[in-house]
Amino acid sequence: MKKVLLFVVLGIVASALMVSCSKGPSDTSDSKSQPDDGKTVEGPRVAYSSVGDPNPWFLAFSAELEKEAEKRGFNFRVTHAQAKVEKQIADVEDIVVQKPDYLVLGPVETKGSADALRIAKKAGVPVIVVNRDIDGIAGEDFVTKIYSDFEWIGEKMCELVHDAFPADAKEIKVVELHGTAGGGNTIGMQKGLRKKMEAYPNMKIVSSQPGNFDRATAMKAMENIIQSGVEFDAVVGHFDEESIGAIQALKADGKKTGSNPAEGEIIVVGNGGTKDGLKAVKAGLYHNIVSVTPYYAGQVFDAIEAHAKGEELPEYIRVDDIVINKENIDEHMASGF
Amino acid sequence: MTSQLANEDYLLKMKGISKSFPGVKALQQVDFCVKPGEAHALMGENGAGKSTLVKVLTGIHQRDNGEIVFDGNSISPANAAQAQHAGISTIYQELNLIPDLSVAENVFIGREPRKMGFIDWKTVETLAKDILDKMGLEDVDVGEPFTRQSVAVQQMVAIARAVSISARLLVMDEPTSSLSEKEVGILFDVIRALKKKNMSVIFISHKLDEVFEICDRATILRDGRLVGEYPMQDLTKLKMISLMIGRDAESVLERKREAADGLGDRQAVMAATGLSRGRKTREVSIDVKTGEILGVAGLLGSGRTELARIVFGDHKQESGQIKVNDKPVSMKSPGDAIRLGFGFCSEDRKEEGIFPNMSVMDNMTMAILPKLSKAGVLSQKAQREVAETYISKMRIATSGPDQLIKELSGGNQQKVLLARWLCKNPVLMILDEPTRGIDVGGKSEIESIITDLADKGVAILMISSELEELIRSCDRIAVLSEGKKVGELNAKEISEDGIMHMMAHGHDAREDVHDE
Amino acid sequence: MTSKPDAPAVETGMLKPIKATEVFRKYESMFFFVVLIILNAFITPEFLEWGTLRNTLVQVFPVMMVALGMTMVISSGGIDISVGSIMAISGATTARLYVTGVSSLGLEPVGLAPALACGVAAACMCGFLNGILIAKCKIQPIIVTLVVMIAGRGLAQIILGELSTSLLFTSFADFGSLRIGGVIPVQMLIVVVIVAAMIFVVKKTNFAKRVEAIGDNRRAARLVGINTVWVTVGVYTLCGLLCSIAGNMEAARISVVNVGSLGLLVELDAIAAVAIGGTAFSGGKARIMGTVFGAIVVQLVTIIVNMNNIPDKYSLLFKAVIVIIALWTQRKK
Repeated sequence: MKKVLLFVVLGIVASALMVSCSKGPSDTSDSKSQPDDGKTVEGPRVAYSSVGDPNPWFLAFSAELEKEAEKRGFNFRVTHAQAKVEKQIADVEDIVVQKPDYLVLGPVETKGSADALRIAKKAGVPVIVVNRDIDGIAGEDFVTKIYSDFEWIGEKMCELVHDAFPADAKEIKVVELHGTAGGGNTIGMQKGLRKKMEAYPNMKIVSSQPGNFDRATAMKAMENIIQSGVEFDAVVGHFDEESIGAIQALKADGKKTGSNPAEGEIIVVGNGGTKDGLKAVKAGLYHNIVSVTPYYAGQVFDAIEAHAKGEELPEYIRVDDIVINKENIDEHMASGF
Repeated sequence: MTSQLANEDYLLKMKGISKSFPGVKALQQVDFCVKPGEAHALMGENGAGKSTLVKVLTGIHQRDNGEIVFDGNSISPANAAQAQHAGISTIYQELNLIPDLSVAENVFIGREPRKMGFIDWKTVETLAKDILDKMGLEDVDVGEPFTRQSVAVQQMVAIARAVSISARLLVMDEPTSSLSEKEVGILFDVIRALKKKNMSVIFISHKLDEVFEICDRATILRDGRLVGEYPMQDLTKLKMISLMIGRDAESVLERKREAADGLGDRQAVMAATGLSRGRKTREVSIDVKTGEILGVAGLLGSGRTELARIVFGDHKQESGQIKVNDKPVSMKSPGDAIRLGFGFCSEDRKEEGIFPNMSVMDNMTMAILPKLSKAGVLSQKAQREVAETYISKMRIATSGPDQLIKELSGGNQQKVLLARWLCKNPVLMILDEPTRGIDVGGKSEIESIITDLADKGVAILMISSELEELIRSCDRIAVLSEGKKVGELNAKEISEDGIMHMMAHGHDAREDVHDE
Repeated sequence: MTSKPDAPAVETGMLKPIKATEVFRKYESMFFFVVLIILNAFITPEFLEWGTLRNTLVQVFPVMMVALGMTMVISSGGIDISVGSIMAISGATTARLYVTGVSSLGLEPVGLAPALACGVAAACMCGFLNGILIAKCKIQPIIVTLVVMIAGRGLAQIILGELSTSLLFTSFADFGSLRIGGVIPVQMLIVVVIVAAMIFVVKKTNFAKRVEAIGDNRRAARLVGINTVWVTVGVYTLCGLLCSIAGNMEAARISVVNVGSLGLLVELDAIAAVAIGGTAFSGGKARIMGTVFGAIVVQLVTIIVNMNNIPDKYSLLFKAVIVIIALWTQRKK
């Protein structure tokens, strides 16, 4: 009797573990099935080691890569590191054993993930770095880096906040809800925001708190900022989730957000392009979004094909982003991730 | 109190010692004096304050009031080490020596003779051997690990250690509890030798024979107060018991329940036939009638407790049947038995009886919560009424219904546990060793509660290792041996010899046929 | 200590010497509470304001709900570390039915009330399962709830069908940030109601007495006829119910159900709150108000850290120190 139960319990654990691992942050097809099933594509083999953070952006990016691979006849597989460096290193160790033609690496950490470059180099697998920056030398440790220009995004967010106020505004006080400390994107946006601010002497950051790309964290941070009595006119979120957390907290406190500072509305500007972010822009609560598009799989495969042909590649390939506002929201509504 | 020898030299003089714990005055103005070279008995029931007094003396507890003069100096030991340093050593039941070291090492541990900074093992062993020889323990190999020795030898080693650190006063708390008769003899020889060397011994024991054999004087405590100090020759055993319990001893020890007449005609409240479960219970048939006390006798491991657990529904029988008022019943849990009007007091009060951190009131009413509540909401007023009623009815010594039960003495805890069932008006009480670990006075009180209950018509199934207790209280005694019932004695036949014979020989003494 | 067959009344009415340590043990959570209030009043700007109180209570809400359930579980001598996963399962069930629907079953999204009812029921079932495995199958509580904690997140994801579902701009999310009369957050009202109910349960019901009895001495509890299996199942189910309130209200407040983060690590704060609140980990009396203040103490630590720009890692250290002090004073003499 007890043994039977023990097996039942073990069964539950095992299946749960399998679910949480294999499902991972993806409801696209299972990672392994692609190369192994009957319709295996004969083309060059590309493996993608994803950050695998439970964040919709990574799901969208990974799905996009997979679609593009199929279109171009590549044999593609993906692993999810669940935002853990150790898992990413282990993933890459597994990947290089199968000797793929290319490794696409989305680094979990700038420093920690650099180990993956060494492993790939030793195995002779060329690496394309995507999503974020990594420590290493282009042309030596990896082929090229492809991702959004986060410094530009930071500058753009600064500019959008500035432009939302009348030109003669005496002072624009900004709250920043920043991303996970140490991440390449966080660093870039913080740098851009501050750099641009030098050009606008009437702007200043009154509080900068971690939102960790997470709605609940950002919401708590915003509530505490409101409570601490700091006065502010605008909020800059490093990601839509943070902006929405801020909007929610402001709303609960009876404050309005929107695009009209003259009526006491707080200007919220952020980086992203999630479904919820777009909805909030449409609802008029979220002033502007600077996109951080996950839809650049084309550029990644262009780079792979070019490298395969022996072409020279720049060490950084910029992914272009756009500003989404009330005027163009309808045409971007479908692109939400 | 015989303190006319005020100017005589005492080794130890404790004067006006008081000590309180939360809710309890453990010692009140107790005087206690020990002369050099005497064995002095410290007597009293459990909870009379003996251990507290000893603990105050040896620095484990700090006194609230009073003075301790030892060897002419006023001392206040803050811990056992300080007391030992002053010359007071304690030999506990559980020895506090180190089992894996050798006998010799244990004698000298912490103060080994050294040569050029290294322990001089040869001298250690020679000296240890010397000391043990003097105590009549020539056979002991001092190089052997301590654990290999018998408890008696271990105890001697502890004494040897105390002697070798030139203790003046030895405290022995129940030193003979795990010794054989022969070993007790050796111990007493050692004590006599110590006395000759002018060492004093405080001797605490429940065994009156031993006290009378070895001690010179006795101090008797009761309820934390001093009763008196007596030379042994002025005391008899009976007198000592009377002083300890504060009441005429004859009435306590010699009361015997008058056999109720005509019990045989009454209907059995509970009748079990052919109960079996594993090896511990084999084909046992018993029945208990209204107002009857059925004793269950048997050695440890004879299946007494297991039988009680089956009857109470805690264990399920593998075969056999239980009938209550002539109707077959099936019990899956104690809850079912309780619904039938059964009550049960376990032999292990601490592990299976009390809820230590709950109040007397909660402990008492736990089985009747539904009665005291409406729609699951408990009436504290009703709960308190029940508790107060039984506290006064059963004369439970407690500061009130809200006192935690763990703060009560064993006897009072047992009364609360009995009250737990009495307030439910049970039809059958199953009592497993109801007086275990309870002092003489408490025992007699609990016995009288049990007989009163039976007189009121409650059927009682009582298990006890103490034959005297069974003989005093029971109307009928069933004897178990190795899981089987080997016989039954009715009121007229009950005698210690009869029961012992059955237990020992596994069958009915009166006839050579037994029912299986 | 004493046995006085002759004089039962002697001790009655005797004054108990009260020890400072005992007082501290009893009111430990209040002590930390007062210390933190005073500390905060000095170092945290705008601390003594209505808004801070409001923030504190709103933010502490999920921890407090879970901690109340945990108090009962710990009172029964058990522990439940699956609370965070149960919050996620409950939130996922509600969100799936309310926002997404189940297309494979042809089920359109349903109204808030039935969706919530199912969310609550799912959490209760998890608690029920915990209770059955612990009491009936006699598996250690820590093992059972560890299994449910791990399996629970997977199950929540299966139920939700995706990693996170947004509740933005739904009336459920509006309810989560509702302020009654524009002032009092709805969470505060729920706290008052639930705490009152829990105090009533603990002080007045047979159920709580039985829970305490089981926590104090399980064997003895069985032998006085307490149905230990069903009382234990009841305790864990009650804990599940409170988790569902925590999970759904938190999801509504932040307007998203994320199976990865909803209720993550809440068990640690909840256990800390119970420890500070003075409910013994060996089982026994449940101290509801202790837990309430314990939860607020845990939150005050977070607030000090957040509002004074101290890195979050220090708040974890600070909490650890408080829990150690709390458990140290609880230890057996």
